[in-house]
Amino acid sequence: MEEQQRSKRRRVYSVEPNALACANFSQKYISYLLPALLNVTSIGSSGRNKDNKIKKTIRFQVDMALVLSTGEFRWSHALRRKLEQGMDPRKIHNTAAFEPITISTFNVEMLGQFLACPGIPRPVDHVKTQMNLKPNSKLNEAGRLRAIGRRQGDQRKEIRREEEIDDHIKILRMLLPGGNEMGLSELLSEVESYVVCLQLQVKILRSLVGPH
Amino acid sequence: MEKEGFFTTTPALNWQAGETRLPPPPEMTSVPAADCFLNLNWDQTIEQSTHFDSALSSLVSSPSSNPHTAAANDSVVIRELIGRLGSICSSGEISPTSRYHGANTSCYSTPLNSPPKLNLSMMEGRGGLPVSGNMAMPTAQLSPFAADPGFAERAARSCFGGRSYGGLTGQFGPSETGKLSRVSSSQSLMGGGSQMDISENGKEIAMQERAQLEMGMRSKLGGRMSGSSILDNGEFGSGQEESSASDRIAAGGEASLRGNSENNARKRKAPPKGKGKEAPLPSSGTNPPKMAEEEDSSPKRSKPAETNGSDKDTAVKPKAEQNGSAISSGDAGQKQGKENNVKAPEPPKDYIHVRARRGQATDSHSLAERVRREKISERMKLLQDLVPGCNKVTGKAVMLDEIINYVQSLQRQVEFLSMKLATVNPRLDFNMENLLPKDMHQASGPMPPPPLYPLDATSTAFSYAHQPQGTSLQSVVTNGLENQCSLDPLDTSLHRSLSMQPPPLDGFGDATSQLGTFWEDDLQSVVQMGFGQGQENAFSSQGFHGN
Repeated sequence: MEEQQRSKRRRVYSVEPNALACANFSQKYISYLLPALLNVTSIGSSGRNKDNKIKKTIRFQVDMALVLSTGEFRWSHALRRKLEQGMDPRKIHNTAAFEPITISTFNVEMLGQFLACPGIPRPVDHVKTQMNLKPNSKLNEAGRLRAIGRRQGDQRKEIRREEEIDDHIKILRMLLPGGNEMGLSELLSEVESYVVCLQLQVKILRSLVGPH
Repeated sequence: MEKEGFFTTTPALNWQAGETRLPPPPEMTSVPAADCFLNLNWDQTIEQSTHFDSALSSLVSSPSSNPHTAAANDSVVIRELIGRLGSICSSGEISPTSRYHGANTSCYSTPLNSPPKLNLSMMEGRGGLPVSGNMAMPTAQLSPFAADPGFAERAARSCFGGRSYGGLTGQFGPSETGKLSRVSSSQSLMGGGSQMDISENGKEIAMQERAQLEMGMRSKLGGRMSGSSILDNGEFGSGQEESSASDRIAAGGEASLRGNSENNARKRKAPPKGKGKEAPLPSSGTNPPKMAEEEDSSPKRSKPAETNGSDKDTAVKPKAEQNGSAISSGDAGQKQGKENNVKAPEPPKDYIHVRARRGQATDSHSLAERVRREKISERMKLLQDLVPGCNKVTGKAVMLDEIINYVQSLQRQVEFLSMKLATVNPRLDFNMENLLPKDMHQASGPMPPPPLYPLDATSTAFSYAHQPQGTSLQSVVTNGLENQCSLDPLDTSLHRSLSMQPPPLDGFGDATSQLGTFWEDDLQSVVQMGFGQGQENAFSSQGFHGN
């Protein structure tokens, strides 16, 4: 009883409001994810594809927990829509464009290498080939960004940079769930929140998985 | 006169009598405090004067025994002044001399203070003062004492319970009228701007207004404006601040109280803060900006910074302190001088206004474009802070590249970890499901369970896992957090608390619930400390709203 009272009296304080928001998110995330995980394990699907099914379910739960922990972002809504449509998780996150991670080759060291190794072709290039990007377009968002950065400069350089920036923006749109429907400024702000949520999610998942 | 009649009576009695009557007058005289101060109105004085006032003035005057006629005249004026003092209760101006005196100190260090033999600390002590002791002093000394600027002030302060009256701002020399007017102006100012940082203003005004007193009594507004303008130009030397100060001054001139409070608020925090906020652009330079624009600026200052409405109609006042912004760095040199106000003077409240910079097109399209660009650059800066390793990188393309890489890596990590979780998960003891409360099964899947409940479930999950595997899960959590979080000394206590878990439970009664709540607390603290760190810069403008 005392414990309960104590727990009720105790609050999560934070001097930094952003830290409080992150703490809220983390709490919610865990609270959604853990019961779901336990349910998954308790279901104990039989037969083949058990692993795959479990993995898919878990992946689904992971994403869903992310969605449920954050209600106010556009990418959150977009991700929810995708989840509810029953899309393949790979499609949701465009992982098909990137190096596929197979289970057999799956361990931490490899992942570390994979992430850090510069030799691996960058997913950006894959995505670029997919996208069929047009190099020249007058009214592009890169134009705005270019205007921010430089006033004078080589025309060719500028154009090339412009295109580059434009490509990047397109890739970013693909990465972010629901990024295709947003304007540039909105996109950037959503990316910001998405990055933070991803960071928190990674932290939580790491702690759940354990030290290996 | 009655005052002299008072003087003939016992001084101690006078003081006592005066003291008792003091409390009521403040209420009644506070109203006319701000006005009519300039107006040497004897009738008013007599009406409002309390016994204390009269006693005081009579003390001061001591006309009969005073050989100095000039002093007598001065004392008459001083008496008047004291009457004023008595009537002024609400103002809190602190003059330079009163700064010495501060809170009832007895540091009488002004030059005119040197003569007084009157120990005014006694006065300041209490209202009912044993000034009788001081009354014994020779009356000849009263004349310099009469001219003591601090005397009346201290007297007033003592009588009115320690409120600081900077009313007599020090040097009551021969030019009493001049000083009176000065006092009056400062008084009026104080009365008008009661919210201000008074000592600051008092000091400024004392310094600045000397020169202006001989110009006669201006309006309160005018006096304050000039005083604060001089002050501002003196204090803020940088171009930006100066222009912004003049900006503020004119704005302050428009709305007296509001401008004043804002003016002072600005002074306190020198650079306006807030990434998301948009402050008025100090592009006005040193020219006194147009009044219409200033009217715009002052209401705009406190407004939220989101545009509303069409791009062409709205305009934004970019921050002056956007240091990192390429635009501001590029245009810093162009900010002074001419400005163009795009909007009409009376815009609706949703609109945010820009000013076209010098040498730039004032086309609404280009302005809107510039607004967008600045917003975007602002967001890019935020992202730069967020993504690790982006600080050294300059240039939009490279930064975007980094951001993309980072997002991709995060997504890949999530995927990897979820797969790992799938392999780890089955290892959890399946006894758990029997032990969990039955409601849990209803709350499965994507449905969000009720807010309080999941924490219990979580905590019980942890606790149950704790049982069969010993401390493995607990240590998992601990270590996991430990590895991931950049820790500060708080963590050691956290670890200690986590490691001091109760031993595995035998029964599943109250003990489990206790453990569950205990875990809940720790989980909360863990979550807060572990995941909350290092996220200060996460959302500065956007930010989560409380989930």
